[in-house]
Amino acid sequence: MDLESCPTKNENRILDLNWLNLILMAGVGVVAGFYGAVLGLGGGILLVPVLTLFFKIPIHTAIGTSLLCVIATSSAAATTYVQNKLTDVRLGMTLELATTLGAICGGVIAGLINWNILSILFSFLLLYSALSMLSKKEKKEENLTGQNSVSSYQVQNLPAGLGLSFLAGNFSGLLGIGGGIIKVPAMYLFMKIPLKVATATSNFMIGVTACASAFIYYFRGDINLLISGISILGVFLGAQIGSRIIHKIKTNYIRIAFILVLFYLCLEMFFKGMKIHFLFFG
Amino acid sequence: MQKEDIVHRYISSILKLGTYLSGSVLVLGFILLIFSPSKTSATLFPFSELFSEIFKLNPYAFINLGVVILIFTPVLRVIVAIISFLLEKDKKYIWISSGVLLILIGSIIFSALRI
Repeated sequence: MDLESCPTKNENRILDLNWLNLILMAGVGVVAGFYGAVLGLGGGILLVPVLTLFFKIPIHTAIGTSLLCVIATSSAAATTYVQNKLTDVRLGMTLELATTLGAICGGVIAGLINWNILSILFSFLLLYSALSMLSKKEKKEENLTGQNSVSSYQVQNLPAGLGLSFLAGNFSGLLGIGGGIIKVPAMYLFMKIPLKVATATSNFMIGVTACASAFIYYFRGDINLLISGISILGVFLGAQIGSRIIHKIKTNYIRIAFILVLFYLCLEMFFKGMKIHFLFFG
Repeated sequence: MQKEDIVHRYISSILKLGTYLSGSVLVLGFILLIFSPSKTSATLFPFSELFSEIFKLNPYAFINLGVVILIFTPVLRVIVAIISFLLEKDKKYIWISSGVLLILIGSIIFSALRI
């Protein structure tokens, strides 16, 4: 049946939004939602490249879709995490002050930034985060699974956390991500929060962060209902699954998976900044 | 009742409501889409047309509504957080959550007006 055509950045090719493509997009959503829920990310970091490079969707539509999917990941997974009291709601609300302001800033300055410099700076930040997480010695309690094992902790370095949340908000408005890629290391490394609490709290926060930017894209009309709708449904499914099995996953595996994502993104962003083609970006 | 009970329970509930409602409306929209192709395009409806299109059973209007519910869920979540902190008489976080809500609403109005 004839659904819809979506103009793509390659003018010679129109993406047929046929059911096969929609099912594939839903599948991408499931993966993004699952990893997002487990790692405290929104999945935007996976969605934006896949939508633009594999499905050849225009970047603004892709970012709009991604922001909605971040809200979906956040809301779906947070139902489980908040209920299980894994999320530090109070810390999340506090950091959200910084992150929402950052999202607005990011949206406003989007047109003014030199992308190459931004990409390279971002890649250094990712490298620093990856190396820090790699060298961090695991406390014994963190290797236990289950929310009952999360020991009580003291939040430290709040100003640093606020500053980094503000930065994360900026990247959210600029790139269409949730900002979890900065928030999780910020909470885990700087504020000394246990990793699973950090991922759950990050997951909690990114919904509000993406919401601020999503409205901008919504009122600009940068939302394609078919692409967004099917991706959101996929993300709902993936995030539900991820949030329910996270207590069975060893914290160390989460940490390693996160470090791999950081290293990979670091390389992507670096080469993108240097305008060298590498895997997806460039 | 533990101090943290109200906040976690209410926030979890509103998030559940938002996601299930949004998901159901989206699924409805896609089911409608399977059975009757839409005469309009997959772009957003102006709010004035949205509800009339839903009465006409336009699949895209349902998907649009699902997206609207989703995008407002975080806003509702912050409002519920404020109410929860009010019930727990946690003054510091009443202020913090209200601040977040103000920033959110400010950004919504700002983006609605300049477009």
